[in-house]
Amino acid sequence: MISYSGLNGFLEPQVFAAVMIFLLPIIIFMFVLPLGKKFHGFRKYSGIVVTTGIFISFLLAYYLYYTNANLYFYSAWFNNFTWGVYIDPLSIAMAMMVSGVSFLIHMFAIGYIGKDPNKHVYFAETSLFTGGMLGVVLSSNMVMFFLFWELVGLCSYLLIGFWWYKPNAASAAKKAFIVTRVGDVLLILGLAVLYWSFLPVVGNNDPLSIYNIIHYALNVAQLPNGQFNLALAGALVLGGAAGKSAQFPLHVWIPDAMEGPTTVSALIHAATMVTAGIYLVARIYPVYVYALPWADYLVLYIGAFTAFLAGTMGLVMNDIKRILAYSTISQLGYMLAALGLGFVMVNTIGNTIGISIYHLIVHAFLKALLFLSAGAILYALLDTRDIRKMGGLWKKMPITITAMFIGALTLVGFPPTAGYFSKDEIISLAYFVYNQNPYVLYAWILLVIGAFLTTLYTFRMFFTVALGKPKSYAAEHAKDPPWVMIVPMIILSILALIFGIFQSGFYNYFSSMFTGTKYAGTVSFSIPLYIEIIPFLLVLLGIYIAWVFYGSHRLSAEKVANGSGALYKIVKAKYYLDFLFTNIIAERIIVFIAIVVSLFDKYFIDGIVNGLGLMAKYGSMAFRKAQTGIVQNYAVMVIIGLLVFLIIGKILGVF
Amino acid sequence: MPSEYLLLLLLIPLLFSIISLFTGKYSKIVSSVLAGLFIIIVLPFLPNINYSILNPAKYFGISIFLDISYLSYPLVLLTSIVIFFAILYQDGKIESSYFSYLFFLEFSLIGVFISQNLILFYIFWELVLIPSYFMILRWGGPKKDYTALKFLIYTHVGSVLMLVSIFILGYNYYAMTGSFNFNISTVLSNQYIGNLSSLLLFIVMMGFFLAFFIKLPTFPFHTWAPDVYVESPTTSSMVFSGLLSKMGAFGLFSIFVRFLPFSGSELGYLLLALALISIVYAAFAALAQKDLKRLIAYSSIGHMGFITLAISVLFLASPLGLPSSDAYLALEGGMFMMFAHGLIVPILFGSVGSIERSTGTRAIRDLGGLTKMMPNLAFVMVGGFLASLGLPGMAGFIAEFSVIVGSWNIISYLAFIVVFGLVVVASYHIWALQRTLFGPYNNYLGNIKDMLPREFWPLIILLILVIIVGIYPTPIYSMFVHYAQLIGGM
Repeated sequence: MISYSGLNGFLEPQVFAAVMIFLLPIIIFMFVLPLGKKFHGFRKYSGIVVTTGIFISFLLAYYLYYTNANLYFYSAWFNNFTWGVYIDPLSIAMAMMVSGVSFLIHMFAIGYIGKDPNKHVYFAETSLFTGGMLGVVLSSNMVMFFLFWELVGLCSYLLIGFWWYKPNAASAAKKAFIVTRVGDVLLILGLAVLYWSFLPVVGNNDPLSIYNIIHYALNVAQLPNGQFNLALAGALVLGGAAGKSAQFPLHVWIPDAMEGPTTVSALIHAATMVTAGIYLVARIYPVYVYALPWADYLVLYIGAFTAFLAGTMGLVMNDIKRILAYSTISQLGYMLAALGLGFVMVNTIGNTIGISIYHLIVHAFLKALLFLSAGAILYALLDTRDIRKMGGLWKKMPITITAMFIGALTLVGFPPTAGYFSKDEIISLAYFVYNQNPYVLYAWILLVIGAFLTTLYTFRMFFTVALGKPKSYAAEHAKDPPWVMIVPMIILSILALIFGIFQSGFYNYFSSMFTGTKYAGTVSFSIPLYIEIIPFLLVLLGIYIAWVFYGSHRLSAEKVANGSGALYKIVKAKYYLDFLFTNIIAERIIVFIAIVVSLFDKYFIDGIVNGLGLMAKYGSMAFRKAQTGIVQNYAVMVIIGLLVFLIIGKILGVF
Repeated sequence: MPSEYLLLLLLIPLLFSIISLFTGKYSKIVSSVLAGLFIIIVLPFLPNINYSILNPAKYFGISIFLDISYLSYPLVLLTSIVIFFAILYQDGKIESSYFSYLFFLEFSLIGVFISQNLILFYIFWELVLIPSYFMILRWGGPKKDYTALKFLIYTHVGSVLMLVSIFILGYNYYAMTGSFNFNISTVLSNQYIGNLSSLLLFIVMMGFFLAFFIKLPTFPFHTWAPDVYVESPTTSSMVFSGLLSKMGAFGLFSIFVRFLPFSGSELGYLLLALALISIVYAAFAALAQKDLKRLIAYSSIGHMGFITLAISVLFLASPLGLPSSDAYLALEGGMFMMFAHGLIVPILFGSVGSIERSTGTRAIRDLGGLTKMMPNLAFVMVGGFLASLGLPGMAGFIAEFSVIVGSWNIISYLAFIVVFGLVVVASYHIWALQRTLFGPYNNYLGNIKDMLPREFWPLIILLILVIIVGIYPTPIYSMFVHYAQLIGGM
């Protein structure tokens, strides 16, 4: 890894390219917004301008990949913090994925958002959104990272609330902001712990530089309390990651965030935002590697549990976008669990970061594909999101639904799609690690059940949407969208189908991150064949069950739902977590405290102030009686006063 | 920078104050030009490191000891900026005396920030009350009489106690040397403070403590602030909240920190308690407010809590046996909060002022969906509110981040209380935005107009400044780094 600093470093072609990757979309944002406001004629070109800009970012990211960039650039910022870029296989892969997928979604959005009068606002904000995410993956310093991290959060707030006049959208935007804010403040504390842990080791040489965190974590662990501090920092950072990446229990904002335009959901779920948390945990992996083990198990089990829990909730939703949203939460759980496996069994770390990010990228392709096809359906069905009102769409819009079919197969991991290579690898790895470490058993079980649930809810959705008879007027008259929306879907379908062939090349590319460390190289892990095919058998079973209930309707799903009684109710109510957070904590407890505080302030604190004021006022009234205005009275007072002073003086011995 | 030039810097606003009295209907234009000019005049007065000049200039037999330190330069700059944008924002139809009061306020504030003599400091400290009092009394809202009096008496009580402290310090010097001296760097040096008996030291510290924390304001001395900010006209709220509270903060960082070697950890814990309560209490109080201006007033109190927190970290560090350099990051953050808050809060009051002007109300429940009719306002207000809740990339974040990260080493798990407060802060900001700007438009408001250009442009430029300072805080921040090291070396 080459280090650069200062202005000369900035002018290095690779450094300059890396900075421009995230700066370009942000600069475009600064021009598109005022230009679109001033010139109405410009608005229809805003989509093309932004899409082109993001494509240039992609080319720059590809240039970094092509030239095998591996560098650390930093320059002074405030206090002992620096700003800069940190480029290694992890950040290059993320940057290419973010800019590439974002480019395709933008292209789709040119058609999808085309009719909205405020499209320049939309495109300006998505450009900023993408620029922010690119900044997240390229930053060399945690403060700078956090700046972009929050920029991404801000853009998601603005974009979820893009149709601000809809009360649901305004309220969903608020919820997304506040829930992720809970994670963000934990992340700030995590950074505080990191700052004070690394300060004794690296001095004023920027304790929050990612380079220093990666290279000096071992030295920190050797300090007294060092391992505990790293574990504490890791857990707090995980809190931040859970907020952004919608992990239990901070996942509650994602389903509501579906109120935004579908292309925004595609951006949030595929290219930007939710992957940031996974990236964060992968980025500072040495913190977890050298931490006390409980932080590692926390990562693993938060991931695995979320993968399972979100799968169950995906089963009972009827809103097509919410089903996809829960599926995202579940898949993010897999990625986090993969990282956790690496932290629990440290000699596999050379594999696990690659495995996790590989799944992240495959998921970006397939989830963008699924959301874009869902967007195309909504575009045709005039924003009907209830899958029970669709049906029979395969005949009406064949290209869209075929794309969705490919997306669904990839999501469940059906061979030979890319999903098979990415997700089953995580489950196999979990079994391998379980063989060495019995505590991992439950993670493996949760992940296997999660795979089964994934299949079930995906094909429940797919069969209901694609097969049968159209169940609404809009569904009867649906047709495929224009080419500008179809082309991105076709490109993503191809990627989802063939990306599996890059698996081993991708893992090798990632293991080069560890060249020169003791984690260099990958551990080859093999597990018995009968274990390895369990996920695949469960996929087949899941598709069959979904077919029985939702394809051929030989059995009725309602009967099962009614038969399971309370369980169905609990899942349908999202385990009452939303109810707990929104209705009990936010609307009852917090608002109640606020009212009590404001009354206390008004009547007690200010009451004392006013009371003192009144006391002074009435006290002065008593003294005012002495002010008679008669000179003789005053003369008597003066004499008495003088006498009193003289007497006191005499007693004290002054004279 | 020689003291003579500084005297000029001080007297120019006073001159402007007199000029603007006679400008009649052109008062706004003339005042804007003068205030803009003053920013340019302030810029080259950069501080230098040897800020204790030994031979103060004497004018008419009085030693007028002025100096611009790394702490006061940003505040003088802030004062000139806020006054300039407040004048730009102000409707020109108001009497010219209003502008005169604003310049007089600027004069007294700069006097507070650059005085190196306690008597001079006290005079300017009290002079600030005069224009403020009359501005509330003449142009205030329905409860202006009550508010003006409350403001005057409340802050005056603190100041009088400070005067007692100043006299004790002066007498202490007299007792030791046989001559009178009120220079801050002399009478507040360790040599002379150390001579005070513990009772007198306590009285002296209490005097400053009350004066500064009332002005800041900190819980439980904060109740004058919401009344004053709410009852004042918009421009005055911008100036009062942006600048008056900085006097208290300035006093803490320039005078109160000098008691550091003589304080036990009890004072540190007391300050810490006040800081934590202020942050959380103000956040909850703001959440329950029904009036947008009151909400912003409480948010202001919460932000000042971060300054108290920074001071408490300093006062806790050394009694706990930690080097005071461990408190630098928090201190820098606390000082940066003064600058950041001074830039941000005028945007908030300015946007609410526009809402009140066009809709006739500030009550949150009467608003809703304003974005439809006032898109420019929505842009500015969202920007201001996000800056206020501490969004990274804006000035406030740099301050909050430095204070929280800087305090972890000393207050450790208590920092959870701070960040819990931050979540509530984010909640009430976002909730207020949702209820005023978003959702369906409240048709009872009728056909309202968007922000006027005189309202929009000052606020948008302030917002851009907030973003520039938030992304590249270095020029201002490095001054506070210098000053933090000075405090540590005291």
